[in-house]
Amino acid sequence: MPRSIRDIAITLILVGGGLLILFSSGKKSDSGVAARVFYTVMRPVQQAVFGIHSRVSNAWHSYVALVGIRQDNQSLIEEVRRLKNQNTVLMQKEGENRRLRKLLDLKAQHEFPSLVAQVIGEDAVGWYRTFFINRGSEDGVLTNMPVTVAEGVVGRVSKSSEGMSQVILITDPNFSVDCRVARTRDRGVLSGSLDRGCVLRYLRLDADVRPGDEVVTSGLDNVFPRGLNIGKVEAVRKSDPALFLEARVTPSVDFAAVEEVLVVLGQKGGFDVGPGLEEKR
Amino acid sequence: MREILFISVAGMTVMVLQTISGGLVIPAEYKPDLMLILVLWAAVRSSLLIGLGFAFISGLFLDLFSGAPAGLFALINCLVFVATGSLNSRFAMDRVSARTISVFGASLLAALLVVSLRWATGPVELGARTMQWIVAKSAISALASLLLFPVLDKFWTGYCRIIGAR
Repeated sequence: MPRSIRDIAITLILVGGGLLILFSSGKKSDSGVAARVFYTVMRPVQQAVFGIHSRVSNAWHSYVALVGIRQDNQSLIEEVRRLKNQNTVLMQKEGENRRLRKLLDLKAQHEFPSLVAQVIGEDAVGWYRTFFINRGSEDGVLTNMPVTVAEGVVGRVSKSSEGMSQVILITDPNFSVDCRVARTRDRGVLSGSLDRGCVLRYLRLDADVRPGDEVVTSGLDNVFPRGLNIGKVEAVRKSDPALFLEARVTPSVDFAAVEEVLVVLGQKGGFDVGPGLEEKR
Repeated sequence: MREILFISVAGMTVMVLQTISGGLVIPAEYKPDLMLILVLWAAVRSSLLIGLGFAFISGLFLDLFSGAPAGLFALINCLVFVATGSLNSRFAMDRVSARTISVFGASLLAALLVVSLRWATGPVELGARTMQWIVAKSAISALASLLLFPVLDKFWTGYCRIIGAR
């Protein structure tokens, strides 16, 4: 067979085969015999090739592409640490903000000038109940000025130097303040107790003071403003000798948690406020 | 001079720790009296003049940084120094038990003087709780001395080796 005829024959067979397959498949969804045979032959080969490809791909992703993962991990750990630190700082700031907001509310309620101070140290030996604040005489803080927080009275300034002052707490036996029981208006002198909390002394024997009654400053000692919260009566008993009643008082302030305080700089008939101190408040 | 430098630095460190450390591990009123431990250590290790001077000055600083009337802790520290020095000359105070007991006793003496002075100047309640507090605080100081004495000894030995004191 001449070569040209053979080529034409092959071309016609192939084109004819193609047309035959094309028109014979029509709209049938199932594959024809040839296709099924082809699939059967190709399936193991394809499966093997695909398996090899996926293994290679896995190997690439597991090892080669993970080369930088250690560094990424390290930087992420660093970032988590940094964010945690930032979070702690923000939480501290939020706490401080909340406390200062309370103090500001208290400051707005007071009708006398006051000054916010920070607690910077505590009693050196622990036998006394005192702490130190970062405001002193150059800020207008003088001995005997009342120190309060939003919850109530903390104490009074016992020593004052230029840049810092010592505050004696209401739980120290050297502290005393003239008080009233808020419900009955009975007066007494409150001082700290070595045993626990405070003791309200010199209450009248017929005073109707009960546990749970609130104790507030009377303002009659000319040191503390009137009506500042001190604490609640825990128990009442007769003094020895039985001339008066005594009440054990639990302070409303948690002294271990105090970080900022408000120093009352003066009140009506109380302290003189030095000139030039207004801008410091 | 070298002894003064060492004891001054130790005193300043203890003073700072005393005013800021309370409440971190234990409540502030139970914190150990580190300065008392240092005075006791000085009574055993340093010369009479320098040690007594340190006891007096550190006591004055404690008076300033506490609610105590001026001079009370200067007196207490001097008493503790003299008593411990005298005991040390009779009995060897190098043993751990002797040192611990001496700190406990010194702390009780300090508490006795503080409470007596309070009692003399105003009404003070002396209930069982107060006694518990005094004993517990003294015991904590004694326990702290178990840690502080060896640390001070170690620093002192190192310091002597470097500077050549004694």
